[in-house]
Parts: sequence; structure tokens; C-alpha cells
Amino acid sequence: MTFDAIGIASTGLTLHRKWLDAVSDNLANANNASPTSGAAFQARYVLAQAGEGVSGAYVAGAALGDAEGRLVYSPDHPLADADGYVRYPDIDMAEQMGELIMAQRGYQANAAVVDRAKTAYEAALQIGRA
Amino acid sequence: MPIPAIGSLPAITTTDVTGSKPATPSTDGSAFGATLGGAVDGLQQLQSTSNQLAVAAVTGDLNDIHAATIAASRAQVTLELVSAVRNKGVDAFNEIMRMQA
Repeated sequence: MTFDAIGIASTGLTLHRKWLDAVSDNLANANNASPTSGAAFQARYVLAQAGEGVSGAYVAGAALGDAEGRLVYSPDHPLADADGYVRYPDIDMAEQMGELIMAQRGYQANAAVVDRAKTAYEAALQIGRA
Repeated sequence: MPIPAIGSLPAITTTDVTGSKPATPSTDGSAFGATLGGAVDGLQQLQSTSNQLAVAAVTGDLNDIHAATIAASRAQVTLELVSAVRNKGVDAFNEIMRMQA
């Protein structure tokens, strides 16, 4: 491909966009309470892999977190069981915020690669121009 | 310590830039024309992709915003490349036309 740096950076952009989507889903559901009879919301983790035979990074799939969650004693909760417990997802807010920053910075880095590659190609076209 | 003899160099292969270069370069100028035509066809395809993605972006059918902007950048840089080659060709033609006695 003629503009391979741009194409490779575009795969990185797509990967980090999906990571951002996964983190936003985890954060949006971080405070979901569920009854102890059911499963808690499972955090979603994007699995990245290098391209096979081609350059770039691609999403291999998504792994789901613990369905067990953590049990919280809140007897006033409408979903509480007979012992007064409800189930919350096992999502660490600080960890998710850290992942959010990493995904955002990765996206920015790949966008910068696209920018620099375009500037480089345009500089190449200026060679020999009067 | 034995020093191995210098082996012969591998044959130098030319790089096929546009993928449309004729096998036997002719001298009547059709090789350059075919190359330029292939480049223009590629440019046309890039611009049509860019247009489709732009329409998808404004209608909300696009997941990746960067897909549209990168396609637009790609089409723009390719247009600049093709137009630079075409201008150089025209310059060469004019230079030769000025060579008359």
C-alpha cells in the first residue's frame, strides 16, 4: 500500500476507539446493583493482537470480567436478599480511569502518526519544486 | 579466522510503483500515459471511497470518524502526487516544444 504508515495508524486508531468503548461501557455500568440470585455486570476487556501477515494492531476479541462481583450489605435496597445483600460489579473505578487515559493517549498517538506521515508525504512532493 | 569470499550480488529488481506498468517499455510515450492513467484510476477510486465515507459520516452510519478523515487525507495526498507528476509531464513536453530551431 502506498500510504502504509497511515493505514497502520488507522488500525491503531480503530483498536483504541474500541478500547474507549469498552471502558465507557464498564464505567457506565459500574454502579449497577443486581440481586444476589443473578450475576453482576461483567466488565469488558478488549484483547489486542498484532496483525498476522499484515502490519497493524487488531482486536482479537473481548474478555469478560468476574460475574461474581462483590456483595454489599444494604438491607434497605429493594433488590436485597433475605440476608440484606446486593451484588455490585467488581469494577475498580481507578483502574478504569487509568485505562481511559491510556486509551485516549494511544488514540492521540496514532492520530499524531497519521498527521506526521501526511506532512512527510507532502514534504516529499515539494522536492524539486521551483 | 577464515574470511568467506564475497558472494555475487542479488539481481536488482525494479519496484512496480503503480502496478500498471507495462512489461516492455515502449519508446512512443504510451508507457508514461499508461502509468498516469493507472494513477488517475487509483485516485478516482480513493476519492469515491472518501465520498462514500463522508456521506456515511453525515448520516450517522459511521462508527469510526477517523476512517472518513483518513480516507480524505489519503485522497488529498494522492491527488497532489498525481497532479505533481502530470505537471512535470506537461513541463517536459513544453520544454521539448521550445527546442525547435
